[in-house]
Amino acid sequence: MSPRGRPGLPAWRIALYAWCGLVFFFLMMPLVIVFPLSFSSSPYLQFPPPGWSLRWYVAYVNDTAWIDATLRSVKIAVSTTVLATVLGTMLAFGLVRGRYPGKALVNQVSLMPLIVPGIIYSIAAYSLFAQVKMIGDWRAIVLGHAVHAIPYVVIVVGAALRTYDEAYELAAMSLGAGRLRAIWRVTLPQIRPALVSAMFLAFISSFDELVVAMFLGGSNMTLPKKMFDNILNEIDPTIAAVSVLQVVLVSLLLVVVSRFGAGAKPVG
Amino acid sequence: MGAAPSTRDSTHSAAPETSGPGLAVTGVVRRFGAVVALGGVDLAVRRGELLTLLGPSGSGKTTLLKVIAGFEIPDQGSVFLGGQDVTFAAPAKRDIGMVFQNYALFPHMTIAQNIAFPLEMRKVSKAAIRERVDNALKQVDLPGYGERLPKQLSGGQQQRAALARAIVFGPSLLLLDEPFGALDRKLREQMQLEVRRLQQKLGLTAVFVTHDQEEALIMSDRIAVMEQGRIAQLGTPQDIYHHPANRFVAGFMGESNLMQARLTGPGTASVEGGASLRFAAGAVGPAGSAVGLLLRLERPRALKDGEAAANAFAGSVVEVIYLGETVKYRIRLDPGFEIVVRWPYRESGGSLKVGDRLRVGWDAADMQPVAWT
Amino acid sequence: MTAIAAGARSARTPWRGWRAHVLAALFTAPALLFLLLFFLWPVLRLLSLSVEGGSLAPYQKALTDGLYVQVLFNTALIAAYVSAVCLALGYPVAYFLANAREPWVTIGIVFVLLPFWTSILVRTYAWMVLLGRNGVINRLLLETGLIAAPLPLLNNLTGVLIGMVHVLLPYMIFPLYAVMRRVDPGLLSAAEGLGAPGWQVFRRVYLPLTLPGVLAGVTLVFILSIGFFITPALLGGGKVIMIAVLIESQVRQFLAWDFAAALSVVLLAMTLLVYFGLRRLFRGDLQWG
Repeated sequence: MSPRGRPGLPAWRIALYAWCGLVFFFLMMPLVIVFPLSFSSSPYLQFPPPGWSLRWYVAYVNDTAWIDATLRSVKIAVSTTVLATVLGTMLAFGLVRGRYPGKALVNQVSLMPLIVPGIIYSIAAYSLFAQVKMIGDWRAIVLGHAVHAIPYVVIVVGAALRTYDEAYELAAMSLGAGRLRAIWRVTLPQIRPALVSAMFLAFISSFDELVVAMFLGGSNMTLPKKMFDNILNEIDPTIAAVSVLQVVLVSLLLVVVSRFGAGAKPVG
Repeated sequence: MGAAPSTRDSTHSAAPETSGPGLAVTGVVRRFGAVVALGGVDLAVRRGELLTLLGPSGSGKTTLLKVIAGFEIPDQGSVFLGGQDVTFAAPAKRDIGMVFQNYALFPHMTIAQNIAFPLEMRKVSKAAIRERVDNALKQVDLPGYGERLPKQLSGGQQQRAALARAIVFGPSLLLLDEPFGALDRKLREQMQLEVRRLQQKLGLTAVFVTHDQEEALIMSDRIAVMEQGRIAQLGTPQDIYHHPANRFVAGFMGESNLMQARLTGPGTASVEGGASLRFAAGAVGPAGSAVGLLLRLERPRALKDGEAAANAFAGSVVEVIYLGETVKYRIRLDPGFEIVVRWPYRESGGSLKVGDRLRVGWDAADMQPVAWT
Repeated sequence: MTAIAAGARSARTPWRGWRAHVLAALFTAPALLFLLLFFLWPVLRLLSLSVEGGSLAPYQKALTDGLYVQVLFNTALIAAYVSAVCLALGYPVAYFLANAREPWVTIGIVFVLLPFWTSILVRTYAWMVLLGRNGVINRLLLETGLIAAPLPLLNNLTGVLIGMVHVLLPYMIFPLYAVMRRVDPGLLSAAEGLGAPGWQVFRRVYLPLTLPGVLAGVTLVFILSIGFFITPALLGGGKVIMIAVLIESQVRQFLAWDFAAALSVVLLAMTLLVYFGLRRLFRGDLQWG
């Protein structure tokens, strides 16, 4: 009995907390483990590391293959973000505001890339871009990644638009703004949190994507492809250093999104 | 302010005009699928006049407002502003200032930026914008609030800011869409008078939408009562209150006794129970036809012993409802019909109780015939 | 302007209302064209390859050859395992997130979101470090004397399942959490007030109310599982062949496009069957977003 005279934590609650603790441990363990590995002085996977050093970070920075792959991935992810955010936001406006025949079908098509398995899309895109000789072209990867990012943008921006009070836009129009100017000056600034979240989703979905990039990239590797090859072949702690940098990057982005965005949950 | 002649934009200081074309709506029909939202509306608002569209929700008043503002295009009919046909003009081209139900102040802009918005859209110079924004803020009694964000203002202040934004560019028409709905009662009454004062001072032509008949009576030069997509009656507040055109208008314009009666001659009719009532004369139909008789709650009076009236009946109190300053009594009259009266507390002494006997009477002029259709 | 407007009026068409819809269609068009050109068209073209030879041979091979039938069966089985494990792990966590107090909710959500947004490759690599013969877990167990020989955790089904559950668990937790947050806690008190014991309150009130989340989560996890590629490819050590791995190798190694296309059709059919099947079962709203 607790001092307040009410029964203490019931057994099921203790079990619940213990269970959740284990699950959180399971979820976080892989992220945590890469930190000590990346500072190891040993070229082999040893745990705990025999000594500490920054050599794997130095190795990463000095290896042009890693840096090239990183820069290429950033370039692709930024381009994908711009393309998908522009197209997806426009589509969300069309779907929420418009009334035209076939709208339900358009809605289905816009969400389909989420349902069609990535491997199917990847080989389909591979055969398409092979035909126009764009394999190895980073822009082909941008197009492929945008296909996957657009549904995220449509979902997030569409949800924001559905709860947005159109009276603001009407007010702007009555005050002398055309429809497009009203959207630009009044509606978009107000749904900015959703736009920030959508851009985050688009960026990460591209930056982490492997399969499409693997098929379309040819010999021009993106960061995930480079990691994939490393894991398959010459596994050394450089990849741990890269992993730490990625975990830190995602953490920073999450802070930015929770500060300026509308959340970072892709569903629910 | 000095009395020196001013060179600034004169739109606001123009003397109010009480005639000439302001807004005209002719034959406007708007359907949504099978629903007829507006079934042929004709309306003319004179320059400098405040006209209220009054009606319950679903009566079409908001649709009519949207047609005037340009957010809806009528299926038939036209809208004229200052003599120009604007039926198909974009909202931005209509030169209409509008105050929305929840004000629709842009939350990401300061009050000054909000008020500057319509001027910016009209490419007014920076310097002129600043001056006119300051002026508008003064007009609505919000000087010094320009740098705040809308959410930092109280409801009443937001209301004023929205009003300033709607009038700062000197629109030829001001639309007010149930603007006081979100305010508490006391503030609402204050804002009603303020808006009315400002509208009269600036000589603005205005259309005001509300479902609150009291508000309509306070604010309006004229009222258009709307029912099922049509204008049921158009007239001054006095007209509408005292001479409602039909049963719907009578019922909507405040509580009253409305009795179904049968005409028995000029100015007389009989009600349920057989009693004969005398009402203000007027040709309403041949003997034997149905008519509604309207008696406002405050018109009947308690008769002293021996006092006579055109309509006088004895009866007994069946219900007493205290309303503070006034008391409502439901009285069953001996011929077999009931009326409700509302008397000042002091006058009736608050002394009548259920079951008390009394005599009540009212003049023929107190009772208005109303079409019973 | 007046004259023009008056002239146009005689047509009596509400063209500006219509124009608003044209505007909406124009907003839709770029993205729609983009998706048609770079998504729908290549996918349909790929699928059509499966019947290009005019025969159904690729399908026959995929659906009757024991080797490939085994792969299909394995894929579905693994997806079912993963869904079940995710549900068992995720349901209590979602309950905790939906009912705990701050700051525990925020901390818990960060613990789910951070791994979720971390690159799958980072996580897969970390699991290889953890699960290998000389990995962290085996070392720990050996040194504490709990086991005598290293457990086989990597390059087999166990490794694939652990990796997949780790990737897909958030997809289970989010829809569950979204549904649970909308459950009125008053209902549970009411049920308890009516004398129902805790277990009955859960079974008769809470579970039915959160069933939509369960269905949404299971659908999502199952659909994503059957198309999984990276995790089985890296953690399975070539011993766990799922359909996506098979498709990849058919294209990469054997250039057998028609067979890969047929397998793609089968995979897509399985996906859509689960998606629409469960959606119909549950009358509509899957919690996608």
